[in-house]
Amino acid sequence: MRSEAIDRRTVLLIIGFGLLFTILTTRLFYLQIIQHQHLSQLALRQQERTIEIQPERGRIFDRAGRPLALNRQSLSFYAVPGEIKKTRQTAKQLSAMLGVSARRLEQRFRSRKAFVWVKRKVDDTVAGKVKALDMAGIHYLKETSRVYPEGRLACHVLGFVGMDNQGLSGVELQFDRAISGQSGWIRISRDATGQRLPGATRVHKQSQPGQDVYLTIDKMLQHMAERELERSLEESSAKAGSVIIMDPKTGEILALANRPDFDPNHFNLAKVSDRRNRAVCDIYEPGSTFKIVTSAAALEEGVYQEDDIIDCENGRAVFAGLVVRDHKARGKISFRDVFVYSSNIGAVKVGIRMGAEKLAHYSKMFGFGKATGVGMPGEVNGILKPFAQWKRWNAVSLAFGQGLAVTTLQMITAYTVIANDGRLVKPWIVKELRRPDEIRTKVGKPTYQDQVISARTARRMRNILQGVVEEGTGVEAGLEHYRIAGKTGTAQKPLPNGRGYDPKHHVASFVGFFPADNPKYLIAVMIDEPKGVQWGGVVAGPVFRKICRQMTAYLGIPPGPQKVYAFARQKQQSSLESITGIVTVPDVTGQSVGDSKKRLQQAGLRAVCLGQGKQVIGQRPFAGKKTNPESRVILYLADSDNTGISESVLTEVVVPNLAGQSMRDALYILHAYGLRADISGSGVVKIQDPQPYARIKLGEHCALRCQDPGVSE
Amino acid sequence: MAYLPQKKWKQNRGSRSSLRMAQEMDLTILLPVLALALIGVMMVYSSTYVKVDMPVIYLKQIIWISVGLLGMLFFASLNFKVLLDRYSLPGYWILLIILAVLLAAGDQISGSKRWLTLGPFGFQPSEFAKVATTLVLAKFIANRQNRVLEWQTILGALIIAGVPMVLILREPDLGTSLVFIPLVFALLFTVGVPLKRLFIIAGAGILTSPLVWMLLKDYQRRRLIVFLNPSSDTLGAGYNVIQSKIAIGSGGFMGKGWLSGTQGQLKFVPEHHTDFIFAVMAEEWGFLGAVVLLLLFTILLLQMLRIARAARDMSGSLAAVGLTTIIFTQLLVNLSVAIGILPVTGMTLPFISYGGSSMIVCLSMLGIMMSIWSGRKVK
Repeated sequence: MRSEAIDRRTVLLIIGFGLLFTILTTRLFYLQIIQHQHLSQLALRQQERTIEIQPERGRIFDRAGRPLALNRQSLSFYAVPGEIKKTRQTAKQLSAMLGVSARRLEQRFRSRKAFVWVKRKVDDTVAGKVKALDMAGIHYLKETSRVYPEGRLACHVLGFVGMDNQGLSGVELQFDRAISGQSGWIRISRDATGQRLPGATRVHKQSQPGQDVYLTIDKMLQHMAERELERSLEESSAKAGSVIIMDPKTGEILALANRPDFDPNHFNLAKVSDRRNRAVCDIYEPGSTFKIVTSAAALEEGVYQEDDIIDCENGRAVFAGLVVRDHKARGKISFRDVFVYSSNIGAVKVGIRMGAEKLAHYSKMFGFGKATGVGMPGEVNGILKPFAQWKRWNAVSLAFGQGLAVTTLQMITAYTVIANDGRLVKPWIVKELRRPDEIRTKVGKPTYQDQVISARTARRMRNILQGVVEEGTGVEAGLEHYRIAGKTGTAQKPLPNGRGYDPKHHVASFVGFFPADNPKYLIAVMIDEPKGVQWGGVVAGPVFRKICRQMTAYLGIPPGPQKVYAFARQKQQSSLESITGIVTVPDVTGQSVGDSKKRLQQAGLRAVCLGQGKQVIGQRPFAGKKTNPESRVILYLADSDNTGISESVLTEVVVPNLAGQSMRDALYILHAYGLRADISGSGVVKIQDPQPYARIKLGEHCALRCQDPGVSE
Repeated sequence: MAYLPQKKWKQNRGSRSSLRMAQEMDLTILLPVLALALIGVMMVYSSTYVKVDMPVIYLKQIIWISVGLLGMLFFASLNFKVLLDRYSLPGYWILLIILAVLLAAGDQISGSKRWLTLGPFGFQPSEFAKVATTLVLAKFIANRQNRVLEWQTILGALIIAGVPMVLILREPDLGTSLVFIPLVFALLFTVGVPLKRLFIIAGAGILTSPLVWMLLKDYQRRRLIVFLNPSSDTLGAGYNVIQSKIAIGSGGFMGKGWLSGTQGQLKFVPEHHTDFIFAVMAEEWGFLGAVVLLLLFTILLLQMLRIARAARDMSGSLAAVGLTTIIFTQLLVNLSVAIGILPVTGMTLPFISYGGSSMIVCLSMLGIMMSIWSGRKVK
């Protein structure tokens, strides 16, 4: 009885234990067979400490192999605490050399980590000394920091890198993967206490240096573009500007400059807005430079021939409720002259006759409304409304380049259609990547889009654009002895609220190429909000011309036959006036007062006389200067012997006699003399201080008291 | 079923001499235990392995095994009846006094509440108390086997086990004290207390568990919390379990080989030669080694319960069941902790873990088992 009870109960005990054994075995099976992979990885991970070794960043060169971005190499010291023998002594020694607190070092050395930094990016001389000591447990890595030897040159193209050498903008960002190379590592096995295991192998993988980048940029052309842009901005006090130089046959960008700019070596000191690559990131309404689309489309579609006559309605016309004005009133002129003299009304008529749909089609084909894909970060699409959304006035404004927004890069790319016999070519900026073992990877290559216009139409367009420079709005861009073609643009800026346009601020631009019959260089100049004269031909044209002049010298392009251009040069004077209303100040020095006044009047200028006498002995502004119509020219009068004013004085000025001058004239005169005015009252000048003919320094003040002419004291 | 050989043995029983059977039985217990002890020495060697200045811990373990075998021999040669009737109760009282004195003043006497130091040796009285309590319990319950349904019997058993248990818990030694609970239940179950009643007692125990919670030390509470949510503290109390699981899991089917277990060798597994020695073994010898270990223990279990059934009287059976329960509770709890299905309690793995008291007591318990076997009634 007892035995049976015991039997039964022990059987139950065995079953119970058996069950528990089964649970254990199942769990073991789960851990050791099913979870094996996962847990093995966990084991590995905690047993090894991996230290990343930064690879050397690839360098950046221009197309000729001139360096634009390099690296400075420096050593970084780290410690493996488990290997250090005399902790305190080591800390003290290092502290003295590296200027790190000995206390902190000792703390780090006593930590349970397998790796601690001692100091990063140490000076070469100091690093040599530390290296020479060869202390137990102290090791070093090579780390690099970025240097841009040319400073600001091509800063927007290159971009810059952050503290850990990661590309943050420009080519540095776009090609970061290729440039940064592959990190290497040191792997240290460690035990749970963080000690490096005695005898444990230290696995080492060398970092793979990044690839060198060869740009399409030509450092010299870049330099020319930047210098002329800079000068132009200084002269016109414009807000910003961009210049792009491109090879129209291949799409290679030879130079890309923006102002304002920054120093990529110290990018964090620059304003964010200065770091914008405006040529690809900022959009503007292009204005007349866009008219190539209208005219090329019309020629291609056979809607117009060059000699067809278009009535330009004497400068004002209304289309679809939109008032369109010309800068200069014209009547009936040829199709060709509509574009040579940049008539908005004419362009609109061309656009309307051709049809809105065609205009939309060609705008798209010329690359507008879509990023060029140049491979620079932040490139925008611009704005070109899809045809389906157009209202009637869209076609009207588009015909002369308003109502759409483009980047400078898009605009220059559109001109490749003209320069490249009808095919749009995609712009590119990186030629190739080169590994340290000289293995090269081509990155960019000429990529042509479908034929937009026929080669013949392109040729006809080049002819018209040559006319623009030789006799039209673009004469300021003309360079004697070279066949140059191009188009000016003076665009209105839309108001921020989107209602209409800002009457004061414009975007002046010029896009052109040379040689006109076989284009090799395509240049776009965009100046945002120039002060004073705002015409594209006058503000942007000279920038183009100056760059061209330097380029021809640098590239060794021989001048063409002189006589062709002698004719053009003659015509320049009058044609510029007739197109833009801009006046060139005539040379009247040495002439009689009467003749001078007459000539100035003919030129559309007002004479302001200073001094007394019958002869003009000097003038401001000087002859040949461009100025707005109706502006004043000061004539310095004297009898044939010089008594009044000496022009040779540079720092001293003889105060002019301003009595009787209107307040505004007096101000203008003082300004021309380089003096400042303190004015009281209004009307005409009655009393001045200092007295006339006194000699004072440039920039000093002259007090004027004015009264109404009729009132006497 | 594992239990099947039993029948065969029943049939053959009559045809064998008792002496031969005693030797056979002793061998079937001795051989797996020696195998386990050998495994233990190898694991202790591996887990304390250093290329230079190898510590002599594994040599010490061999000494403990030798001492333990002597103890086994000693108890095996004792008459179980005499042991139970004359020595169990005095032993129980002496150990209670030692435990109480250590708890009150252990810090001053031997520098620890757990250890009693005698010259160069330290003993854990709690280990010996388990054995004494088992014997006293077996005797007490066997004496009242016809009154097992009376509450006095159950209460008495609970008190006999409860006093040393609380003393040990306060040392604090949660692992060792917890062994007393399955011990009491196993004995009451074996003697015939209905399961229903046992469940009622267990329920009452659970209801009073807040009291136990109050008795627990802070770190013990933390261990319980961490067990319920190990990821709450991966570097603290949960660290042990996670490292143990990583070690076991990374061992895979075949293991990484002796002395090649990185987790154990790199000291990621905590207390790797004592409480977590199984993790080292499972890492180095894999699933295969773990299963072999469990098979050895299974043989042992079957033999021990066979003794329980063959014992001369109820007290012998109960003592045998009790000793079996202690050894296998420790085994199960230790393995469960290592594989993360129980909270860390601090129980050693019998015959494997390093430790003098544990080894000597475990082997001595087997000596008592042999004594019960040789004193069995022969039908």
